[in-house]
Amino acid sequence: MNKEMVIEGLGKILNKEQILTQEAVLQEYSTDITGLRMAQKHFGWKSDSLATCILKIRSKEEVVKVIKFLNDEKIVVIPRTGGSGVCLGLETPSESVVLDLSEMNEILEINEENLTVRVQGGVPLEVLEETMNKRGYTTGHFPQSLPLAQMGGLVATRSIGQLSTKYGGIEDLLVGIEGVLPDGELVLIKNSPRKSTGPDLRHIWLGSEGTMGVITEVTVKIFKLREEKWMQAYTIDSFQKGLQIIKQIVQDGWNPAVARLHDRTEAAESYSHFVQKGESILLFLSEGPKGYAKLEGEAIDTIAKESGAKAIGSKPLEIWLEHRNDICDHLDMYAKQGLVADTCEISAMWSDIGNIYKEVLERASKEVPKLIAMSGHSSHSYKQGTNIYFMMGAVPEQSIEGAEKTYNQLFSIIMETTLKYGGSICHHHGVGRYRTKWIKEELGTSYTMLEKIKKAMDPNEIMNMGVLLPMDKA
Amino acid sequence: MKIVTCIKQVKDLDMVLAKDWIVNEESKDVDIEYVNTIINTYDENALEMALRISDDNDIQTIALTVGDESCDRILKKALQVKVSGAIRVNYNNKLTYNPIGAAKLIKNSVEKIEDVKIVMCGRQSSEGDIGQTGLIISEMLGWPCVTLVSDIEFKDGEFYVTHQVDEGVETLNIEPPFVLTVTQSADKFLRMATIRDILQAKKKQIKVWDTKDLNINEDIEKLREFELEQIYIEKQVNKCSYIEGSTAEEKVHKLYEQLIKKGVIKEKK
Repeated sequence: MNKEMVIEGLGKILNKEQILTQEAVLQEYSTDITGLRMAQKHFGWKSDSLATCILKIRSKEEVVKVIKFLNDEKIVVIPRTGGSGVCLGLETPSESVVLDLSEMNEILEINEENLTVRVQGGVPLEVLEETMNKRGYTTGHFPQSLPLAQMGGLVATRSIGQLSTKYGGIEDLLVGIEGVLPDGELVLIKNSPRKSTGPDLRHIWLGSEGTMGVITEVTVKIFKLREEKWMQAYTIDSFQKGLQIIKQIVQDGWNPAVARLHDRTEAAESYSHFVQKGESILLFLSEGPKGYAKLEGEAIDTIAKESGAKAIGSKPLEIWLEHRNDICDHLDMYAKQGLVADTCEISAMWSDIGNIYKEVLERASKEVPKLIAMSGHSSHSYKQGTNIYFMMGAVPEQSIEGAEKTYNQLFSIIMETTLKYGGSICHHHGVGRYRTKWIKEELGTSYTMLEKIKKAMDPNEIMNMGVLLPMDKA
Repeated sequence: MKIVTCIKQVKDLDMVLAKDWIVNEESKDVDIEYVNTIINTYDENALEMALRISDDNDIQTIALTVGDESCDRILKKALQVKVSGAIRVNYNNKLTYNPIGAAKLIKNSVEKIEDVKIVMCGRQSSEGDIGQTGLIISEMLGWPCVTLVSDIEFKDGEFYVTHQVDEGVETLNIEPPFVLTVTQSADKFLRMATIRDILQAKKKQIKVWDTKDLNINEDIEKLREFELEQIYIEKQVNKCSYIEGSTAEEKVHKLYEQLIKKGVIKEKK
């Protein structure tokens, strides 16, 4: 079926103004905000693989009809909400069709008895959080993409928020979910506090990145807003010691909403007034019902000080809270200088994470000729391990190809080192198209499970092909 | 030929917490001690412009600042991005409201450095927003000054300076010596140093001059013509109203009517 026929077919389902075909729009939707593309755009990159059209979807019924049509015609579909992906998961294969759900943005039901909220997939998280705050609640979910992200995309990418040590990732927050399968069938997983009815089917959607269907509605937990907070920052003379402090805190059973450790580079960059040369900085925030924050804070304070950390007050926490999402306002700042810059988050068990951090920094400084920085912080911790969020930048050869070469070099160092120590290559950004080259090694013998699930769910191979599973085997 | 770029160390005001904008009536100041220090943004733009000319031509860029030892931090940063030299005029008093004093120190420094043909500085600093130092330097040197410069090119031995004017932008072909005050432009972020550059810069020295080295015998403080009377926090009142409508067309029409009603735009006859 040629492009004109596809648009004609879709025109029988949707109004004309819902079908966008202008080249500038197709170009805008052709990628996401991955650092690689930001850098390449500075050197004139444009996508040569544009979608046939962008569909502005307004209801689940429209999703059902559109997906049925596209499945019958075997046309690749890219579901999309806020567009804040950073792993090329939203790139459009040529002649694909983008389903933009950002106009499905209604908050459908706030249930104050069960502490849940049901929303359409295109509800911006920031709007939801503000709405909940006015009623005395919070979503407990604060990813750095908060000003951009929408609820369907957050579930589809297994998002996590900055207060995850207390509230958990999106997988802990998701209660029920509705979506449209690749054959156009609308399915609902009802709300339940917990159940034992076979595998948890919500996990087909969580992290599916548009490969298993289209998420139309989600029900997530909400929490009572807490007025009582305890905040404290500490300096510590080594990153590895900082990791040990966080490990002890979480393994002792404490769950501070914020437990962050920024290495010497990041500490000097953001908190130079508070740190001496070479010091890392620890940031802790506790919140909860009356008395909880103080109790948890005292325990954290004891552990930190016994481990050699020096308390430096709450100001660094306040600065972090106010500026934590500023990057969303100037995403292309480094690209405009002709630099390659991005972030990359991985996770590993406590026994391995320190080695990964150390080796990544060593390799980057040895192997990347024009390295500007490779730094890292731990920001989401668990009893068994933590993540490292690497921040990297280098001067590439000033061309589209040069930017890709340097980007690949930086990323490969992190991916290879993580896999070497048995860590996981994505903590919360997802796989997208970019990280598929490492996914087989990541999943090992379980890779076949993902392949088989995908094949069963999407036999016509229409849902965001090339994401999660590399194209050659998908 | 040399370009002297004047850079000033300031506090990063973007980092100040909203709740900390409290005026101390006695000191007429706001306590922002905890925020990072940076190169004044307009000065950064000026430095980047100068470096771009130096990149491709036999023209040296010298970074110059005035202040105490703590200001070496920004000169080290300038050395990391490969300026040919870094000079600090050692002066411990605050020059925020003393542009004549600052200009005097800079003018004498420029004369001490040989072969300077261009002086570039930011249009104003974020601390006082006075915006006079560059103009006073040009007056003292007897050189022409182009203000609000957003670009400079050196082509076939000639300088082309683009600057903002009331009607838009204008490009002038001018002969050195001259002084430029630089405004922001989207593509003039100061380049970042690689780790190798940072290590190499550690070997480079910062020259430190005092008023005696500059043959200044007068009291710079006495050149001060401004006294700060008062600072206050301007209260921002945000009003927001939502325009309702079932279609984008309807909303735009209502917005159009509102804008006419409030006199923001005139109705098309």
